[in-house]
Amino acid sequence: MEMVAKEKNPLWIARELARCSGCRKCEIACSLFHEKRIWPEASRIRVFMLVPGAEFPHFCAQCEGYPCVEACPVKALTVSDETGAVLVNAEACTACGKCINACPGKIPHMHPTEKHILICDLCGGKPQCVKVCREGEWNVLKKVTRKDRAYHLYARKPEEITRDLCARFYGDKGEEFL
Amino acid sequence: MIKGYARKLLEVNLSTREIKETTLNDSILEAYVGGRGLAANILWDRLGSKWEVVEPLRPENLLLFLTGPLTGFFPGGRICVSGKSPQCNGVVGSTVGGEFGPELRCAGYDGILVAGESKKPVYLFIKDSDVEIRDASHLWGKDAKQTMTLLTRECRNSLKKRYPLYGEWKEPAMLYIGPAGENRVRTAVVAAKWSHAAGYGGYGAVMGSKKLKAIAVKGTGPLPDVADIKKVEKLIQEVCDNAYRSVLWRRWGTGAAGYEVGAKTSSEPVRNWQEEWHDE
Repeated sequence: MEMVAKEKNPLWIARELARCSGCRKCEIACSLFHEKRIWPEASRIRVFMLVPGAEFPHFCAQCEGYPCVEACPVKALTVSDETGAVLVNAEACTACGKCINACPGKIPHMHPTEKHILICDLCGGKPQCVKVCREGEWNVLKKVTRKDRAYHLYARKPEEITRDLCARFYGDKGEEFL
Repeated sequence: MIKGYARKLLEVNLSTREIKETTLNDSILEAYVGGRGLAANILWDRLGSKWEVVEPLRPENLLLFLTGPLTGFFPGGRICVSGKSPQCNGVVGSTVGGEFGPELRCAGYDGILVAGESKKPVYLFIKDSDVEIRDASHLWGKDAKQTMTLLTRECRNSLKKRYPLYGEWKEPAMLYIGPAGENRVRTAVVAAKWSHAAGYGGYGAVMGSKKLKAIAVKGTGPLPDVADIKKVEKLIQEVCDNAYRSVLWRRWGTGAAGYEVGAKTSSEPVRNWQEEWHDE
């Protein structure tokens, strides 16, 4: 690791979930950046479609307090000073799954073949998912400066988000599709 | 070895409940590419000698779900359903969009071949190389939304139970039939999501005759190796840029062609092609 003091540039990805069309371009961009191949299940951002029409991206919200980092028994998770993202030390991680349970949205998931957890690292300050989402003008994701806000409210379980989106799109009938 | 393919075909015989994988030949893949072409080749190989006597709605017919080399690389997401068609007794390649194609490729297969006929209603659950034939009597008779809801819940619960440490499971992709397919209506579709259907050829009836209610697939692997990933990235980028620039397609989708061509050449399919325009 270089020991050069890097500029502090905490960022956050603002999300407008109802605009998501479910094109999954973000999954492709994420896996190409991190795994050098197209691998939707190893992507740090995953698009859920528990009910057709109610697609949304599900990824780390970097809540203040970082409950996943707190919960890690082997200190494999750290918070990046530079971006505010959670970084995973893949060698130290034992794949115990404690961070998943600590996360209010159950957002982290295991790597399909390796034994370590996957959490969004904001691509070191240049999130690829935001880039492709804005290129396609879906505008679900937007890069903003991280402020002192209640970001943990955005870390929600897929079922909860789906329920809200269904209520928004389908009204009272939305409940029965879950 | 040819790149861009998983080179594996999943063969399921519902009569004997036998599941096996066969390797697809490089020369065949090169000559027939995938989808409709590969379907024609497989049907010729296996049913060619007795084509005249094969009844589309009898167990001897084959039902094929095939992908091509580009399936999963961004713009390509379609899967081809084929077999001997109950509508015309010929081979029809009927395609449907949705997540099924990419998920099947992630599970490590290029296609599924379903043979035989089950006695009870069943559905097929594929999680990478774990393939199960599961009972579907509780789904028989259900329509699209009910089937999707019940099956998504059931599959995610079973995945969660089997892999408790994985985290949240994404939903599996599904192809299913509704009551029309179950009752062997010869125009029945094989459907994906709520409103996407492989409509040509009436393969819903073939699926219904095999008592196969649905296929759910969850793949956790990567897409097959390609010769040059940089070129694939460039290709994806170019195709997307092209699509993003086109205002017509963005705004109207494929409906644009119907309107543009139909209105300009006075060939709107009004009253099932009996009239050329509405009076109002």
